[in-house]
Amino acid sequence: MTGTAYQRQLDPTSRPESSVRRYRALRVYFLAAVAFAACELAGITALVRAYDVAQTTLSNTSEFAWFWLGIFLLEFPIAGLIARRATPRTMRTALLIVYGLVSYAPKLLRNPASPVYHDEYAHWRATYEILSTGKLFQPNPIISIIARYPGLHAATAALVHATGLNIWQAGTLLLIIFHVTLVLGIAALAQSLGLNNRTSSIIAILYGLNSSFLYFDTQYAYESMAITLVVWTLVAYVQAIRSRWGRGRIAWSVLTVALSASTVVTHHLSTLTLVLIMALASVTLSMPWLARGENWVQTAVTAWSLTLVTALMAGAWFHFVAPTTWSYLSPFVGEGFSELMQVANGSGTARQLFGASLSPSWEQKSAYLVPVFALGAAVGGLLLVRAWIREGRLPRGRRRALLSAFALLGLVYFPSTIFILAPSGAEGARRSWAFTWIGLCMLAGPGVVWLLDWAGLRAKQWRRDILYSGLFAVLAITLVGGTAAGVDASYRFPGPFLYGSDARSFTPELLAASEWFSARFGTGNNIVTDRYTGLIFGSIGLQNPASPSVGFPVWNLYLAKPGASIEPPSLLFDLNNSGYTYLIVDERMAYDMPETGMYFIPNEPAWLDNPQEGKPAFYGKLNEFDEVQWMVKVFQSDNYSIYRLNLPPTKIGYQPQPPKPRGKLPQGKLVVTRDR
Amino acid sequence: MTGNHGVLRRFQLVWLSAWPLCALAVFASLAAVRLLPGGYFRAALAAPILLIIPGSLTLGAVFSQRHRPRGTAFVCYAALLSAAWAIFASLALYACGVLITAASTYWCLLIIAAVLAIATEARLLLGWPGTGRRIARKPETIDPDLSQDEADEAETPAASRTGGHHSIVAIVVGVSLLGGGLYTYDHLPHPAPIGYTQIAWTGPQVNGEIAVSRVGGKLGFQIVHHQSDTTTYRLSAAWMGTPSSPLAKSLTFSVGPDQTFRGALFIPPLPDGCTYRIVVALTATRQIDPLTKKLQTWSINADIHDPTKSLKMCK
Repeated sequence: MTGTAYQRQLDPTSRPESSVRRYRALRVYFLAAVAFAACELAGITALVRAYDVAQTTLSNTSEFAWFWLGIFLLEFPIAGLIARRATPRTMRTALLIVYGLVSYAPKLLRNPASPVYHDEYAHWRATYEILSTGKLFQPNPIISIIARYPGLHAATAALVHATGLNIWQAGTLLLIIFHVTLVLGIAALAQSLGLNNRTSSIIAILYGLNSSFLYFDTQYAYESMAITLVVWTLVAYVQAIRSRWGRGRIAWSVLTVALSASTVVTHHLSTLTLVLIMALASVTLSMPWLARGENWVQTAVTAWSLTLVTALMAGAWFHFVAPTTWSYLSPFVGEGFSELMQVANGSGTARQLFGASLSPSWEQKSAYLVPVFALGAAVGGLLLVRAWIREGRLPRGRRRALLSAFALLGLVYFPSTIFILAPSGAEGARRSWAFTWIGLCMLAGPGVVWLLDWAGLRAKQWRRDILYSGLFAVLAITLVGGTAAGVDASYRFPGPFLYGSDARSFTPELLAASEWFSARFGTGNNIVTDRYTGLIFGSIGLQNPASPSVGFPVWNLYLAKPGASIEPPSLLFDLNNSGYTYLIVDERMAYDMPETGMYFIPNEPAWLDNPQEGKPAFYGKLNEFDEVQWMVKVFQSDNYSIYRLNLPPTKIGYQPQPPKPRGKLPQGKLVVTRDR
Repeated sequence: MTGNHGVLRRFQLVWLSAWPLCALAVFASLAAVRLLPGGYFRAALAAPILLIIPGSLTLGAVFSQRHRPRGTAFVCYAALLSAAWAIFASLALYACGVLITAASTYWCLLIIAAVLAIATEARLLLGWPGTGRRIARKPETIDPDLSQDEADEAETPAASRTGGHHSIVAIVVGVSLLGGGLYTYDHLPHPAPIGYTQIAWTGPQVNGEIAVSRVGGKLGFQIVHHQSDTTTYRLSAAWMGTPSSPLAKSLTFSVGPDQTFRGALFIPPLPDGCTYRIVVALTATRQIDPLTKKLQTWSINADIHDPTKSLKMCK
C-alpha cells in the first residue's frame, strides 16, 4: 500500500468525500454507457426498419428518413465521444472499431446472402473460378479486367478453403475486417503525420463522410480491399520516412513494399493512385523549403526509392500480366476530359446530376453542399497549418513536407468534382474521392478540432450547445450528401423489381431461367443478352455473356425481322465464329426504359436509349422473333425467352405454309401429366 | 515476488522467446481445424489463425522487438499481411503450375509461416537485448521532427498505451450489433417472391432441326407453375405459317400452386423432307399480361423435318 493511500485510510474526513466523488463518477460513467448502448441499439433498429420499409412498400421515401435516423444514432454518439478531450486514447481506438463495424451495417443488411451490385457478380464469378479450376487469371465474362487482378479473389478463396464458408460469407468476413482496418488506418496515418490521438480519430470519422465509404467501398470488389491496402501502405511509407536509419527505417520500407505489392496485384486504379501519392510525397520531401532538416537528402532518397520500387512493380504487372489495363482505364480519363471540353465549348451537354435518381430532393440538395463544406474545412485547415508554421510548431522537415503532400492530395478533390458533369468522367471522379478525401481529412481534421475547442471555450452553455449542434448539422449534411452522391438509391435499398437497375433486377424467375439453362445446356455457353440478365447468367449461371461494343453491336440482333438482313452483315458471321449459340431476351426491354439509362453498355448508341414517341427502341420488335428462320425458341417464362441461334442461316428455312398432303392437315396429339 | 508472480514472469519470458514457434504450431493446427465440418464454429477457429498468424510472423521477422508496431496497429498489419500472404501463396502456386486447392494453399502458407517463424526466432535469439530490470535502455536523442504530441506520446508509459480489453469489448459490441441487426432483419416477414410460369423443351438436346421418322415423332416439354394460386391453362400446338394451322387438339387443365407438369407433343409423319416449324403455346385463360394487355401466353417452337424424304418441293 502506498503512503498516500495509507494516509487516506487514516483520515476519517477524506474517505466519504472521495467515495462520493467516485460514486458520482461511476454513476455518470454508467449512465453514459447505458445512453451509448441505447443509441446504438436504437440506431441498428432504425436501420433494420429502413430496409424493411424499402422492401415492403412502393414509392415511399420514409426508408430514407429511417435510414438516416439509424445512421445518426449509430455514428454520432461515437463521434461525440471521440471528440471529447477527456476520452482516453484506448477508448478512442475502441470507438473507432465500433464505428468501423457499425458503418458496415448498411451494406451487410443490403445483401447479406448473395451478390447484388454489378461488380459483385463479376468478383463472385472470379472467386468461383479459382475455387473450381484451381487456377488464377481465368477469363471473366462480366468485367474482363478483374481476371488480371486476383488479390481479393485469391484471399477469399484461401479463406473459403480454411473456414468452409461459402464465397459470399468468406468475402463478407474479409471485407468487414478490411473496412474496420480502413478506419483504423486513416487514424494511424494521421498519427504518423504527427497529429494527436484525438485529431487523428476525428479525421477517421471525417473520412467516413466520403461518398464511397458506406456502400461503394464495402461492396465485394477489388477496390474495397485495395483502399485499405493503400492507406496502410501509406502509413508504413510515412513511418519509413520519419524513422531514422537503424531505427526501423528498413523494416518500415520492407513493410511498404510488401503492402504496395499486394495493392498492385489487387486493383489497378488504387495502384496508380498509390504511386501518385507516393510521388507527390517524394516531391515535397525533395523541396528544401519544406523538408530541409537533419538527413533530409537521405530521407528524400528513401521516399523516391520506395516510390520507384512501387512504380516498377506496378509497371511490370501492367506490362506482363495486365496489358489491357491502360485501354480499360483510359476512356474514363480521356473521354471525361473531351466531354468536359465539349461542355465548356458549348458543343456538348453536361450530364444531368441526379437525373434518374430515386433519392429524395433533400438528399440531393445535401450533395451540392458537400464541396462547399469541404472547401470551408480545407481553407480552415490551410490557415491553421500556416499558423503552425508561423508559430514554429511545424518546422521545416519531414513532417511539414508530408503534411503538405497530403494537403495537396486533398485539394485535388475540388477540381475532380467538375468531372461529375461529364458522363464518362463522373465514374472516375467519384472513385477518386475515396483517395482525395484521405488528404482532405488530414487538412480538415485539425480545423474541426480547433472549432470544437473554440466552441468549448464559450462561457455560456447555450452558446456552446448551439455551436456544437451547428457542427453536428454540418457533419450530418455532409454524410447525407456524400452518400447520395456516391451510389443510387436502388443500390442502397432493397425493394421491388426495378427494370434496368443493376441492383434490383434479380428475381426468382430470372434465377429459375438461369438454372434451367445450365441444367439443359451446361455451363460455359457463349450467350447474347442484355446487361441485367447477363449478370445472373454470367455469374450464378456460369455462362459467358457477350461483351457488346460499337464493333460488335449485338443490340442489332434484337431488331431482327423475319426475312430481313441484320446490320452489319458481319454480325451473324462474328457470332457464329465466336460460338454464340443462344440469345436471351427480357421482354420488358420493349416496354420499359432501363433505370441506369442503358440496355447493354454505357456507351451504346444514343438511339437505343432515347424513346421514340415515348416508346423504347425495341417496342414491337421482340414478338417477331418467333418467325425468324435462324432462331428457335426453346424456353419462355413470364418475361424471359431463350432462343437457340442456328447459325449460319441456311438458304432453305422452314416452310411458310403448313404441310397439306391431299389437302388435309396432318394431326398430332398433346398430352400433359403432373410431375410428381 | 509471490509464487504466482514468479510463474507469470517465467511464462512471460518463455512466451517472449518462443512465440514464433507457438504461432507456427497454431498455424499448423489449421490442418486439424479443416477436418471440422464447414460452418461458423470452424470459421471462428480458422479465420483468426489464417488472418493473423502469417502477418504476425512477418512483423516479427522484419522488425526488431523495439520498433515493432504495437497494439491495434500490430493487429491491423498482421491481418493485412496475412491476406497478402494468401495472395502471394496463390500466385506462387499458379507460377509453379500447382492447382490452388485447400491442401496446396495450406502447405504453401505453412512453409511461408515456417520460414518467417525461423527468421523471427533467429532475430529474437541474436538480437535479444537482455532481460531484467537492470538492463537499462540507451537514451535516445529527441528527433526534432517530432511534433509536440508525438513527444508527449513517446513519454507516455507503454502500459497506459495498451488497452486490449477496450478493443476486445468494442469488437464484441460491434459484432453483436451487426449480428443482431442481421438476425432481426432476416426474421422479419418479407414480401413473398413474385411467382412465374415457364414452358421449355425437355428430352435430348438437339442443335438445329429435329428429325422426325416416317411414323412421326414425340417432343417432350415441361410446364413449371411457380405461383401461389391455381391457374387454368389452355395448351395448344400449331404449324407455324401464314396462316398458322392447328397441329393438335388443344387441352385445358388446371395447375395448382408450385406444380410442374410434363407434356408431350406427338407429331404425325411428314409428307415430304421439308422443314416445318411447330409451336406449342400455353395460354392462361384468365390472366392478362401486364405488358401486352392480352391473355398471357408462353410458347416454344421447334423446326422439324423428315431426313428420309425428298427436299425437292421445299422453297
